[in-house]
Amino acid sequence: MKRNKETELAVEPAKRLGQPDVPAWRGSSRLRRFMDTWRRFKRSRTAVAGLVVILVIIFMAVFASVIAPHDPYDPAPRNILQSPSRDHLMGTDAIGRDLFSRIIYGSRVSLQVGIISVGIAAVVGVTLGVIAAYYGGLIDSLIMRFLDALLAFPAILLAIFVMAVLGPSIRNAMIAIGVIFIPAFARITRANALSLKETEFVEAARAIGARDSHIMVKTILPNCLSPIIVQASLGVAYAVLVEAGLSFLGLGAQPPEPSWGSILSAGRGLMTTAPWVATFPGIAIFLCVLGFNLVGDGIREALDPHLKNI
Amino acid sequence: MRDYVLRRLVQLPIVLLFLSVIVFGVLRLIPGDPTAIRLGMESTEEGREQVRREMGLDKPLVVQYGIWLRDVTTGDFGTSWVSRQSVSSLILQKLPATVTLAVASLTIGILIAIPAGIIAGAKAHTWVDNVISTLALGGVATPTFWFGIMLILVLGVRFQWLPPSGYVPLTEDPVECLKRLFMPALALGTSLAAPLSRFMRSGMLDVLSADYIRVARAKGLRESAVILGHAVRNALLSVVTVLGLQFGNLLGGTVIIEQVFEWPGIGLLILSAINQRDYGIVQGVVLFAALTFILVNLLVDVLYVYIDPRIEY
Repeated sequence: MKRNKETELAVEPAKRLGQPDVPAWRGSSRLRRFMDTWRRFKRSRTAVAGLVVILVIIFMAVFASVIAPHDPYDPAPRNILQSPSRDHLMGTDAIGRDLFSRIIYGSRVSLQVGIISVGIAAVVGVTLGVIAAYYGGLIDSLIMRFLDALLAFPAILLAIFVMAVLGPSIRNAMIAIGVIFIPAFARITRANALSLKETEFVEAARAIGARDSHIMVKTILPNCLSPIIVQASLGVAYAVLVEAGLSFLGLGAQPPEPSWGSILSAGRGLMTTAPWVATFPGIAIFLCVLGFNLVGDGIREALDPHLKNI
Repeated sequence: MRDYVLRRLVQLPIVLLFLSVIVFGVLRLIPGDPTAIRLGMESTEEGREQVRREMGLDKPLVVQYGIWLRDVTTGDFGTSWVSRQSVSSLILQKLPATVTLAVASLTIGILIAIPAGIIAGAKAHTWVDNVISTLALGGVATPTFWFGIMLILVLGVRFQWLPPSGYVPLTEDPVECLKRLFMPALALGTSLAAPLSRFMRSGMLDVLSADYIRVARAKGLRESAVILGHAVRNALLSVVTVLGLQFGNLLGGTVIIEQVFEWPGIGLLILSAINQRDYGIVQGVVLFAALTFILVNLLVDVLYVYIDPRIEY
């Protein structure tokens, strides 16, 4: 009957908190752990710089209509292909639209696609990963082989393939990019969940008769969040890059929607007459991707202080 | 590791099966009638019916899949819906241009990444390392197509040192080919070099803290001999595994770079097929690329066992 006593001990502190559904390891220690991570994150100057870049881009996206000096859709035949000036900080494009305003609005597309596609991938991938790890056996093998098959496609090519079939639009770009990220999330989650499955608190939850779904969502999942968060941040960076690539190829955002990739694509044909049209959106993509990469690296180092070689 | 390769070989057929289902299945998601795409707007019902029979679309889905799978295993990657040319012959036709670009990019990428990674790792946390690591970080965030366009802008348009785009086969005019190859290969090569150099650097850091390096130093070996003779050889091993995965980025990257530089390879083939809604070509090329990618990764894994004598095979 020793085992019973152990499980009793495991649930007892939670009862004391008056939250029967919340295991002991959650609660205020969680906040403390977050503050610890934040403190370590703050120590890295590059990570903080990345965070600032992201915050600026988010600010741009949210307040685009306030910040943008001109209408991003409004063609002005008199202002065609003007080089950067005080009135048009980044010049104008082939039909006289203000490039600076279009790039500000473009941040909406990039962030939207980046965050939603990674969100799709995280939800599907994490679910598959937890299920594969928890049930094991045939279910695990089937899920993993399916993911291997997805990984067998070069990522960008898979996105292009999905876009070719679904047709070009921002919504479809989110789906296509989401699909290519599923395996990464699933594998990370599965690896962590596999080791968690054997821990005592999962055993304890099982012993008190918790349902499988309850154990997976409430017990295993919260404990494999750290690597998922890191993957998400780095994933957004890559998703922004892929979205720009797809839009550049004409498979993502459709005109007149201002996406950094499609603005760049239009600029490709204007290289001799208006090099600024191709130059500025590239810088915007670069900064956005760099920001998310730096933050991702920062979170990873903050969560795992032993990691030195990256 | 040996078990790993064996397991990979056992899993391969299952992965290939899933892969084929994905490639076959995704194409069935196309909205609308595929025969209408082939015949255009002014098609009659009889015409569409005939094409449907020709394409095998009147048969049950499972039978369609079976026929398609049988064709693929015999090297028939389908036919173009528009020109009715076989996809295999189209791929063969475009392959030289893409292989030329890929090999050149890979060479440039490795030539930049390996020395950069070695230096950054050997001089970790000095200013040299900082410069290299910063460049690598920036390289990861730089869109390949933008870097390509910037190269055209500076070298092709401003200084006019190199032709801005186009392709000449190596066999036809080697000098002209290399001239045109330089910019696309540099753009793609640097995008490979950025992540690769980071892996090389962290591989060096891992190796340099190992005991056998301490032994080598204790023996009184010169630092250059320690680095080049002992550290680099072992650090390279970890990079080899990443190389296979980078091949996927290379394949994806060529599609975009071929578009930027009007390089008539497989990338341009699939893009023009998408524009013409020629899904026969799209399907064939995607399958071909995925199979190549699987094969390369398998080769890399086997190669890894082969070059690392500590792993018994």
